Amino acid sequence: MTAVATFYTMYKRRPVGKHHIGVCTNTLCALLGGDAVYDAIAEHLGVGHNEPTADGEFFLERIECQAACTHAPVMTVDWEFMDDVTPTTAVDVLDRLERGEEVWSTRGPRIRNFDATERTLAFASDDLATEGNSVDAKMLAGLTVAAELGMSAPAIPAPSIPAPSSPAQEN
Amino acid sequence: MTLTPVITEHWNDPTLYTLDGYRSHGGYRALATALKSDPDAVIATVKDSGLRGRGGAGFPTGLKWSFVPQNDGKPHYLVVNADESEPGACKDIPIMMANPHALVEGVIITSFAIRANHAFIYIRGEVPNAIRKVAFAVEQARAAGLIGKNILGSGFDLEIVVHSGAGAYICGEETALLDSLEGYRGQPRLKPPFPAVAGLYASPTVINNVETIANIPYIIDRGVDWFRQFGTEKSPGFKVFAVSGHVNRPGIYEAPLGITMRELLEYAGGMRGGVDVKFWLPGGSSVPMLTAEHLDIPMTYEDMAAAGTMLGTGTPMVFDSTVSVVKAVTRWLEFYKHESCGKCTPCREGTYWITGVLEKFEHGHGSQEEVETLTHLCNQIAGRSFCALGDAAATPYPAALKYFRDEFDAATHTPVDETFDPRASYVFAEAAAR
Amino acid sequence: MTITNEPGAQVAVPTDLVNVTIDGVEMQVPKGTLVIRAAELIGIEIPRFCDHPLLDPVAACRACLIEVDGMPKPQPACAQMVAEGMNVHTQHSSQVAAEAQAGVMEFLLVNHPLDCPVCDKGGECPLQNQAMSVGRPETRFTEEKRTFPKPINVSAQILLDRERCVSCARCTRFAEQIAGDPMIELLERGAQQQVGTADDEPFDSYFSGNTIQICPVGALTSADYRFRSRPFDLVSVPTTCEHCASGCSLRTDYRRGVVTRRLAWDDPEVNEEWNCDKGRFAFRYQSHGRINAPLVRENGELRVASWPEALATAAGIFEAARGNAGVLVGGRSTVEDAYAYSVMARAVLATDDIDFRVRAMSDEEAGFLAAVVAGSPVTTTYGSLENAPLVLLVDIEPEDESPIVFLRLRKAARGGTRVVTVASHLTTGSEKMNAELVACAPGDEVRALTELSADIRTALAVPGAVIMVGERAAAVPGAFTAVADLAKSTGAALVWVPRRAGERSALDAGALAGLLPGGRPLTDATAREEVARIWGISADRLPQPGRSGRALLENAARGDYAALLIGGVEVDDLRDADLLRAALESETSVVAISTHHNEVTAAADVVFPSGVVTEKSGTFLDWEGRPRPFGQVFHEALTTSDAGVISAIAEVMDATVEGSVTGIRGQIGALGPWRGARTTRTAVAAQPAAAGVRLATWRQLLDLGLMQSDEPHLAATARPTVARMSAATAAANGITEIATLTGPAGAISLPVEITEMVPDVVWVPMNSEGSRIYRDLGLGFGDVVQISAGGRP
Ligand SMILES: Cc1cc2nc3c(=O)[nH]c(=O)nc-3n(C[C@H](O)[C@H](O)[C@H](O)COP(=O)(O)O)c2cc1C
Ligand code: SF4
Ligand code: SF4
Ligand code: SF4
Ligand code: FES
Ligand code: FES
Repeated sequence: MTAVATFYTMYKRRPVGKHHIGVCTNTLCALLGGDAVYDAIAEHLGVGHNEPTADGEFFLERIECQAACTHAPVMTVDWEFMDDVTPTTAVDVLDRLERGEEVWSTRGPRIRNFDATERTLAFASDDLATEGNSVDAKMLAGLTVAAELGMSAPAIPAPSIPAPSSPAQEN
Repeated sequence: MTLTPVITEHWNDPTLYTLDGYRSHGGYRALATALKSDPDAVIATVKDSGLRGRGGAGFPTGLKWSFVPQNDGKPHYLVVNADESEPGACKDIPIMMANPHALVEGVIITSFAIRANHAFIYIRGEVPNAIRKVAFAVEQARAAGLIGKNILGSGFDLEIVVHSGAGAYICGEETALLDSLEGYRGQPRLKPPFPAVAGLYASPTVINNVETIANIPYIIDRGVDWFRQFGTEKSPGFKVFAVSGHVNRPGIYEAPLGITMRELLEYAGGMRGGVDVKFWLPGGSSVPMLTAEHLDIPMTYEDMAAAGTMLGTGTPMVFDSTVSVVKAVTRWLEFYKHESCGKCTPCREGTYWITGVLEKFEHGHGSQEEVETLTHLCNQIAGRSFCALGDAAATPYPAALKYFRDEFDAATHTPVDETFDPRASYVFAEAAAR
Repeated sequence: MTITNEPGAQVAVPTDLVNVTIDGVEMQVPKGTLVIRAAELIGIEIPRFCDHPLLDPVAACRACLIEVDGMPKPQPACAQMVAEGMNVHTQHSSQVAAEAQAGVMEFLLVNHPLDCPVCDKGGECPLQNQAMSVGRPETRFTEEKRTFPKPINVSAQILLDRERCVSCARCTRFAEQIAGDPMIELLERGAQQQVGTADDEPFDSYFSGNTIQICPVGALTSADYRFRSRPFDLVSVPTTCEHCASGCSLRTDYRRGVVTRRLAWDDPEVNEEWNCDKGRFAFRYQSHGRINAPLVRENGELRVASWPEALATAAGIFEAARGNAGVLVGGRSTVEDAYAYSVMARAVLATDDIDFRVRAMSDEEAGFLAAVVAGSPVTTTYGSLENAPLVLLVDIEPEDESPIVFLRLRKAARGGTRVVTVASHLTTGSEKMNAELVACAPGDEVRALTELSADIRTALAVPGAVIMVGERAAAVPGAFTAVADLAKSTGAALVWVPRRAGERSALDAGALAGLLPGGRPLTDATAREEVARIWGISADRLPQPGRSGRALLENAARGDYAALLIGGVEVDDLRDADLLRAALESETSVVAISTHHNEVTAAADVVFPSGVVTEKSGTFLDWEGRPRPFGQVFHEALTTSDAGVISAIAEVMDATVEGSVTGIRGQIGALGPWRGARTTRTAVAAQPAAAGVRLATWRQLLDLGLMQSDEPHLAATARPTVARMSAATAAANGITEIATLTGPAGAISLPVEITEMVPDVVWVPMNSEGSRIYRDLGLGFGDVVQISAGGRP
């Protein structure tokens, strides 16, 4: 178990606290401003990489590419997306969380807490799929341009049925 | 070349992620078609389509499926690689969040074709919103009788399990993924045996990327000829390109393979502030970088290879001239060092060493001798490591050195942050401008 | 993303030969051979760290990269199988291979401390050696090395210096694949990857020491040997382990007359490259508490005597005891020593009252051993186990009682052999052999064997099936009869697996009443003739069958012998210790030959020092009956073998008993195998099971055995002493955490570990701290024991 637990970065060896804050500092995000976001948060919380705040409210981690480079710089709260952050908006999210205000993921549901996300991951599901908006303008960028320019894929032909290789199932 | 939304065509429908939404656009029509056909015919169709894997290596998908031994009495498995952790890759997660049923339908058809009654979707754990969307789609499909026993009266049974990863890039490597799925440390396995023969639980297993599988319903529904209208002979089809970096409109652009970066850039609104492209990577940090000279090369597997790089994940990262290539390369190496699984010597020790040297360059403490040493070290990893992660780690530096040697020279005396004000690269106004 | 190899068909491993060329040398090797092995055949040494011929390949270290024509990248020779027409270039003929290997070597040294001068492995270190042959002379690495606080204890016996580790995973693969004790694992990842254990579970494997030996660097060291000497100061001698009947080949390293360490020697037919921790680490007894000079009793006290005086005294005692003496050999003697006892008894003392069994024993067992085991040729071997379709274990716990049998059975089980154990419960050892349980309370073996499922019976009839019976069966009336009958009716091979290294030796040397050397019946005229001729006496001077076992001890207890000759015997090892104690207190004269002081020597009239294995040469027969000869390590030793002592006494008595190892081997060789009729065993019926809770027990590998004394680190890895019983048995007796066991000799209280097992049985170790069954309870295997709740352990 130790062998497995120590292999994966998401298994934490100390209590994370209420919210896990990830800041992508992989190359693209970092260069586009992620480093500044990270620095601002670290300063604001007074903690460094992989450290919890004294009050147990936040745990800060430099994270690797979050598969959201189109939305750089990327932050996560309890692993939910907080896309396109700046130092100011990032710190503002933390302030709102601290004040107990409702905070929504930019592409996902309302922020809950770290333990709730851990449960989602453990069961690989929850009942929040219908909450929030998972598709944003950047995901629609190409579609939007295509519409503007009147572009589309070639027309769909009449349904074609792959010929069965054995005569068995002709309907 | 025009944009051709297929997988992304209906992303602007906020109900697309639901079964009804997906069905309203013709979803699950392909499944019915496939189930009326037979497994070998489906494999033949996919083979004929020329579809190549979208996970990075570009291996012909139909061929891969055909390696699964038939009538061997063993269970077969389909494993979807949804670990998308390659720096710069950001297309599978959007597909799963916006159009999860395309994946699920693809999984059912593929499982039918390879005669698997169990399929696993291994999604990286850092993205709960993709996990819940896919899980939701699976539940809805199950409730509708599209998963489970005797699907659509065909006699075909399938269970789909959504599995969340726990944070390790190496688990995207297909055999490491299998170990991880089995509950072990995700370290790559020795091949042979190949997964097609002895994969998950030592049984024949097909591992495919999310986008690869999401292509399947469209191919089955619309046919080989329609599919082959896109792309080239060797790289047929369309591709979900995710353009990131210093472009005006970063985002998802679906277009035929063979589109050029210049065209993509144009659709993405051009470079931010009109600044030049300094370097760009066609598909992830593991493929060699290109420069502004290469903007007109068609984005196909073969043309990218000819240009000395690879299509990779087809998710171009574009950097403008505010960026220090030394800093970029250093950060990527820090990533590889962090993600090296530790199994083999060249990658484990090599990434440790190279990163240490690069960090010196970043602070202006490199030396000319070390410029050469780094080249040697990369050569000592490339082609000698256990898996492709090591090869990937040995990629950024030689490519960067090829085009930007002067920056490494400069980094022997001047910290890169002095040469390149980091604030100039930020995409927000706050601290930008020199 | 990125490039991966692509699927293809896996090649099976047929036995036909393929042609390969390595560095221009053409050769034929079996298909499926690894390139690294093929290269070895023609003397080409490819560097390697993770490769080990007995472990599954991992191809992790990449030290062995070679070039193969037609393959774009260098391939690991340790995982690359040969194929027809393959053309291989090693570092000797390929620049690519040489550079790849040098590159890997450079990387391996990046994070390796420059410890060689203080490292135990220095001088015999594959990393050090290969770095010299393939490494760069100077390092280009000037960054900071990875450091770890050093060293950590992975067990009380084994230390780990993590910065020396090259992550070859030999140790972890050994633990998982060979021993089945995966308590050490690779933890973390990347450059932080390290070997370690889970926090609360040390690497207390019986086989842990092997990891030290196969570690290709000095990362794993033993607490005892650490810093004690450097390999180049040591002299190495091949030896045989004296601790059990597994028969391991060992290498003993010594310096200035003192053994500093023992290692497993590669013997593919027996212990392969492994041994157990007892054999590896328990040798301090050899130099502690020894008897160094002869002693004779004067005015009730033992005093040091000269050899001539002691020999004369002993000879005097024996002169007066001709025809009325008893001989106890002990279970630790070599064939040669036991042979001398055997000759001394019959040819000089004119008695057949002789036994070697210092444990639970029975006449049924003696009959079985004489009829089935003694002098039988080596037919069922380690190799047979590996190929057996089924192995049935009766009253034996291989992991504790014959560790290499255990390892081989585990290997067999991994290869598909079905292991079935007749026992009260599935131990962790049984589980590691993937064994099936035929549940059987101690004493119920006969019923269990007669009621074996048809399925097991059928499997026993498949050629190659083996039945292994252990020494405990002697405590169960009818058990030996039942196994022998089972073997006969199914055709399965039957082997007896004694625990001690000297039991089979003594049996074949004829150190058992009624038996002459080589399994010859004492009552057989031809046998008497053959033996008498070799011994240089007339056949009619050989005695008629005498006493063994309990009869011998009872006669001794009555003080009816004029003299007793006793070899290495610990009184408390006897189930009937009281009988021997009574004998020692009687008027009977006692001559003892012993390595250490003990209860016997304390009561003896004459005591002769005897040499431990390093001080003599000899032969042990392992359970297979395979001779395991060994040479003398210390030639300057002041002691001699038991045979030497006996021969000297005989000489004073004007008799001849051959005392030299070569002489005895010559006699045994001249006798040759026995071709005549063997004794027949008499069937013994089972006894009705007594009502009550029965005791299951055996000796754990690491326990209070004399030859493990003075080994605190080893002892700390022993299994904790617990009492095992089923939940139902515990509940029925109101037992929760602690149980008290009571027998005629007293009571012990032990912590309870609820175990899935047959009801109304309690298992305790036989000779462990807090649980010395014979002495503390006066009970043995299969006896009824009183159990109650509570008590203080
Ligand atoms: C270090 C490493 C990480 C990888 N990560 C991914 C990944 O996240 N997703 C993916 O589909 N393929 C990934 N791959 C490629 C897979 O090993 C495999 O080639 C791919 O999943 C096959 O699917 P495809 O044929 O559909 O492309 C990775 C490879 C390596 C070496
Ligand atoms: S190259 Fe080696 S160390 Fe790196 S990830 Fe692959 S197996 Fe692990
Ligand atoms: S401790 Fe030794 S045997 Fe174990 S992995 Fe490290 S180097 Fe290999
Ligand atoms: S298994 Fe037996 S013979 Fe081998 S080392 Fe251990 S005690 Fe000695
Ligand atoms: S680099 Fe930050 S999300 Fe990809
Ligand atoms: S010996 Fe071949 S890779 Fe280690």
